[in-house]
Amino acid sequence: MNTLPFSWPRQGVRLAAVALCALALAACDKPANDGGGQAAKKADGPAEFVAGSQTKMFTFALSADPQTLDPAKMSGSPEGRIAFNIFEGLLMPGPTSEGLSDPKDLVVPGVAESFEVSEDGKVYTFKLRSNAKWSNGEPLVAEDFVRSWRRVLEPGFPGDYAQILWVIAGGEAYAKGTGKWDAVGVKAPDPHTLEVTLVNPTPYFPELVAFYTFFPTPAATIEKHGDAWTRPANIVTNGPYNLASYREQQEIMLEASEHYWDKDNVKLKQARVRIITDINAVVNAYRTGELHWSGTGLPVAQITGLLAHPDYVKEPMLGIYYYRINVSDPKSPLADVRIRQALALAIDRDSLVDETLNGLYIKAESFVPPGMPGYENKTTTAYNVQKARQLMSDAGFAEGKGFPRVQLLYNTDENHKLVAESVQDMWKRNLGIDAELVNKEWKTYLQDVSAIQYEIARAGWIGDYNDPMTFLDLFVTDNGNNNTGWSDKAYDTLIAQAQAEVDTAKRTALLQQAEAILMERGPVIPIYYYTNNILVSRFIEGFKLHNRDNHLLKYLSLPGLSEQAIKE
Amino acid sequence: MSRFVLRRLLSSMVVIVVIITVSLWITRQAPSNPCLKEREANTCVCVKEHALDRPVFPIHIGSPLQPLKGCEYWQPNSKLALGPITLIGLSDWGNTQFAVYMKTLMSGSLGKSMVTERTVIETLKSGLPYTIHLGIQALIVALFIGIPAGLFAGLRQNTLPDYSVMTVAMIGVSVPNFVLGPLLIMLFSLKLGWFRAGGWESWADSILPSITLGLFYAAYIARLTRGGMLEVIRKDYIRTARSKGLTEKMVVYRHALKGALLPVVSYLGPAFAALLTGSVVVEEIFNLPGVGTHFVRSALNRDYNMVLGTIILYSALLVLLNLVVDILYTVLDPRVSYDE
Repeated sequence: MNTLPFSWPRQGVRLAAVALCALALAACDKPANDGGGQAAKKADGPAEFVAGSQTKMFTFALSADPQTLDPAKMSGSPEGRIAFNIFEGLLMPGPTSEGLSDPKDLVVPGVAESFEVSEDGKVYTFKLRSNAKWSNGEPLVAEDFVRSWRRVLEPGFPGDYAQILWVIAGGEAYAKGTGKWDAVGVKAPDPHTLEVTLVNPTPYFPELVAFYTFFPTPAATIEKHGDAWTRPANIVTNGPYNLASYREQQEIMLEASEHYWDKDNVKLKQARVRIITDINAVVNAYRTGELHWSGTGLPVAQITGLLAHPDYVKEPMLGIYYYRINVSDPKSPLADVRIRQALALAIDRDSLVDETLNGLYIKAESFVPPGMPGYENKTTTAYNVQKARQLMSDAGFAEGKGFPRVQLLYNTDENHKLVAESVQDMWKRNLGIDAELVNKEWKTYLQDVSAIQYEIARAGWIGDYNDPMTFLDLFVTDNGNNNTGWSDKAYDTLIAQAQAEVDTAKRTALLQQAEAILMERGPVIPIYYYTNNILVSRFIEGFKLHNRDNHLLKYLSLPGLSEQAIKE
Repeated sequence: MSRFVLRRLLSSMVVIVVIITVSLWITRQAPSNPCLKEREANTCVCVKEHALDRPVFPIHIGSPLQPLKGCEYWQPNSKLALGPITLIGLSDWGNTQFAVYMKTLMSGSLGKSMVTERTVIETLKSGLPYTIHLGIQALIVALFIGIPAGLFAGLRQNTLPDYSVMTVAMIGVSVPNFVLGPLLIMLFSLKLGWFRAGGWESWADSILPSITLGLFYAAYIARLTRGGMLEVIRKDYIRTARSKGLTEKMVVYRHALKGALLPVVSYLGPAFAALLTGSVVVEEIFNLPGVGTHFVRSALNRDYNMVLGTIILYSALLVLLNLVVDILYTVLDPRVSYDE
């Protein structure tokens, strides 16, 4: 055989052998060597990696390429993450939402240095600071807000959140094409004063103003470039950071703005935003030291191995994971209040959250999440099998006899499946009800839910602001997100009364009554309150818990960023 | 030759038009539409509402308590200026959708994405360089591993080295890239720290994805080369070459190699096309900004314009690469001729 023309492929064989061993090695990653030494230490210790050790610039991940950078049009959290840093509203979210008793403490001054509220709670007068500027150096004045808000209220404006501006008097009529702009309650009597008149006394208005749909957008730039105004070459912003560059699907670079009024307090001068859609890739990048902050919450399967790591943070969120029930068909047993109560009572949320979901979330026994300044829920749906069984037999389905098979719909996802299987088992065990699990791809699921073509469906809701209203007005009769067919006159009345109430204590009492009705005869089964399970470098200063995941770069600093990077 | 090329180009056009027609129809058959979002959004307006008078589910028949909102036809908000897609409904795709879409295509546009604010062409343009770069590198990996391994095995038929190489090749064909990718990341990024775990900033970032993508094809090419070599090495002209007293090196390189590689060459077109269009999973694992990522996401979002744009790009690539292979054939095998 030595007549063969090659000798080098022998090496090829060796290489292949090496590759095979490598595969085997990677596959048998579990530390087999308990005999101590370096290898065991490296494999076991959670401190085997240091966040951000491979980069000299503050870096975090964004879970998706922003669909738009226009704050007036956006509706998602990746978009918001960028908008909150490159734009600034009259007010801005404060560093934390924890431990506050007054909703007013949720916000801090932004473009407005102060504001006053009228006696009836309907007129807000903002005093704009005189040194507020756009990133092109031009002064930012009250008229800019008038024009920006008018843009959002134009009939047919394609912004998902446009309706949030309907709290302004005359806003809804103008947006629907039936009212004049003059009748809309936004006025700029002088360049540094903005006067806003609202439909109702809206105690959460300061927080709304700190939300991106209310941010100022540069009218001249938009007129000049149209939809392309948000491109890095064209964009004009007014926040602590400028959009320095943007590589689609890859990264966004932010640079501290020299025209920002509070630039002296911006400690991180630059930030790199890595766009990483695959959640495993985020964890990988974090482990290899390419990130200081995972940016997005990580799901159960990815986070469990990292729970002991000092960078792991569990952040309670203003959101609820629940099941909605279609009550539109009077012949269905689900239209019976007793059945709905029984279904809710038969779920052992402690075991579901602590065991099935590894304690990553917080059990929900009512609808409005805890931790909302100034509100406490008065009703609970605690686990009570006896009562649930009693309700079932009262409704004529003792031990589940004669109860039709019920479909439980969720969008395809491991987490949802875990929860659904667990609930299915509890209903079978506790009530004798057979639930059939149906999973559908996201858009198909949305279609079924919005057309109310389901029996019981998984649902989630993240509050838009720290007030029970963002959760409770969902189930008002003609709310576009009700999607259950549920309509209750008493409930609608209570919500309407609360909307018009000026007195905080009375308003809270009305909302508590409404929530009680929702829990008693509503179309919902609360499961758990969301938390944001993240990885964030313990060396970052100023990172505090925030229930709406608002972490502005402005508040963060990373002392010794470069030394740390070099040391590793 | 030029007549052949022209003929092929014309027939390719027909193929692409058929693909567009079928894809246009299929995308509309997918349930739901681009307008539906988790919360009621302003991006679409309902142009034809319907009350649900049919049973809400198959199990319980009855009329609803109150008229429920439902929408049969959605229309993207006119302020969005999306281009081709006007009405989203099943009934009118045939007469209006097709005509509108073709007209837009003729004007050199693929419309605007219904999700992002960019045009389809802009998005594809930004992704294509990465996908092509990755595809070419993966092809190089495939050829540089596949051909030598195949020749090595083919020239040592039914010996231990042959079996070992072919076993490795078999494994290569069987391990899917969504397993191989994470394994490579675990080893080379997390354990050894030689490469970054994802993203694309420098050439080094493209190495792991290229290997992940190319290894399957390397294994396949190794099998093809081996088969080709086994067939050719027994041919009369090889025997003639040997009997002329040529060295084994000359016989293999000068004579056998050309013939042995023919099956590989004809596989190259489809392989390269598959590498370009098949990088979807690899792009996702390694977080690369290529076309595949957009394709998957747009399908999930029912971003009709984007889906169709990507399909047109992919099919054009496929058709073009097959044409190139046919032409290459005449170069490698003098017996093949396309001129009557």
